[in-house]
Amino acid sequence: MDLLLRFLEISIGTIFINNFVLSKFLGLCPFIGVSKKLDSVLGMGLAVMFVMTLSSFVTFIIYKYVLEKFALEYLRIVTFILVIAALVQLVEIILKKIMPPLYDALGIYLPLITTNCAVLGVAELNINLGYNLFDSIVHGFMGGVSFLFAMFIMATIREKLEFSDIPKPFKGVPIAFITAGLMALAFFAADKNILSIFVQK
Amino acid sequence: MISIVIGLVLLLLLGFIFGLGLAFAGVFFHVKTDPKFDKILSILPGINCGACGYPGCAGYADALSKKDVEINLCTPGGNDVMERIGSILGKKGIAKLKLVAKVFCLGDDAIALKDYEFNGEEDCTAVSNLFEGEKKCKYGCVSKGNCIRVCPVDAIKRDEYNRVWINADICIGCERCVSICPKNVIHMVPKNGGYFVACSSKDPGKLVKQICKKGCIGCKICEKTAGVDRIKVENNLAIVNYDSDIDLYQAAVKCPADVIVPIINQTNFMKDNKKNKSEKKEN
Repeated sequence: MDLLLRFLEISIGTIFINNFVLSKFLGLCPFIGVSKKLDSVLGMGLAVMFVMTLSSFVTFIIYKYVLEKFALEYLRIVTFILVIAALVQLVEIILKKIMPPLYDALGIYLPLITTNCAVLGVAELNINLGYNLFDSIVHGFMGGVSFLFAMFIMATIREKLEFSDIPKPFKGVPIAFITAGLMALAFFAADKNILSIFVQK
Repeated sequence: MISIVIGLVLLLLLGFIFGLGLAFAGVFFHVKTDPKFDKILSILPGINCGACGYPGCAGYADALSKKDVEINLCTPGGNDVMERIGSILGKKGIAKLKLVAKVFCLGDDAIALKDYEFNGEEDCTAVSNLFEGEKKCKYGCVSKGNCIRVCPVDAIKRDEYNRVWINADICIGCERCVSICPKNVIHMVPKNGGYFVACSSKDPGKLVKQICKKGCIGCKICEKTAGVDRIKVENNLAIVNYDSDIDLYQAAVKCPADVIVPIINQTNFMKDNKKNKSEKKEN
């Protein structure tokens, strides 16, 4: 029961209140760059979910049992980047052999994740928030879900925007930026601490 | 000191372990690629221009080796590449006409009048959104060089008067510049088509003469010289018909605005023509 509550707490917290893209502003490059089409969003989102879960597991193990043992906590960013890069490569090689259809579907997005700061962000946050192994894995998975969630909303809006009447200078990326800003504002409404600044008791 | 050494050794060790793991995974999970794919990829030009409609040369080679795809889609490679792909796959394709891109505008800073000076971002779309460009001629090139930046082979040049022109010998016909140009002044012409009309203005002749020294005024002298089948004036602009192959040299020399220029060696011809005309005047 405790575990289930913890699971729900982290899930809702990561998806709605601390959404990786819209509240923490991580992984903005694929958020704008890949969100033009719904198909590619699903591919990218699934790939990120997969890598985030796996990397939060591996980085937590390495931090706990290697870095902390040798008192090398200050090396964690370097180590995490190394781990993530190697992991993404490994996943790519294995997927190519075992599941070619999935590999084709993920396509170019898989190697792109190596440079996605949301993946490094989730590994960092796991340590900063003092999560244990179970929390870290849930946080990693739900981080991926929150990324997919934000991208999904963005892609559906942008597909509609393609056909709407927009002033010429705003067409394409500019209107996407404005939309992203408004979405981020809307997501702030989920955070009680920020709301309490505006609403007087 | 000792902590630095430990950190260094540990990082090196981690890197080594990961590298070793990846190397083993590479061998263990090795996927055999189609030998046809490697062969075709080595034949394709490898500039990843995207003219074939596939993502890069590897994408086209993949499609060729797996599916029944037309083998004449590689524009930069031309007939040579098509024949070699055909010999691997045992197919015959229809040769495509070699097309090159050309800027249909000659108005540089020295000969075309301007409405205003643009001091903003060096971007064609930005300029053309502002009163449809700096020049008084609203059909012409805005010369901010979007096409120069997308050209994969540096075939597009801009001279000191900001006139943009494309070297037909280098152009591979990938049509990237055609699709990026906000003014639609770049069009594809057959490389062996002889001459093209380097103007896009549909303004009436009198106005063209006032605002640009090198603009088609729709005088129909070319029509009379080379015949209506070869070159035709529509909406105050001469258009060349590339199905016919009558020589356009006479028309090019007689053109009062000098807008009929050869597709190959465009700049040399323009210099010679200028010299000839000035000599004639002196005589």
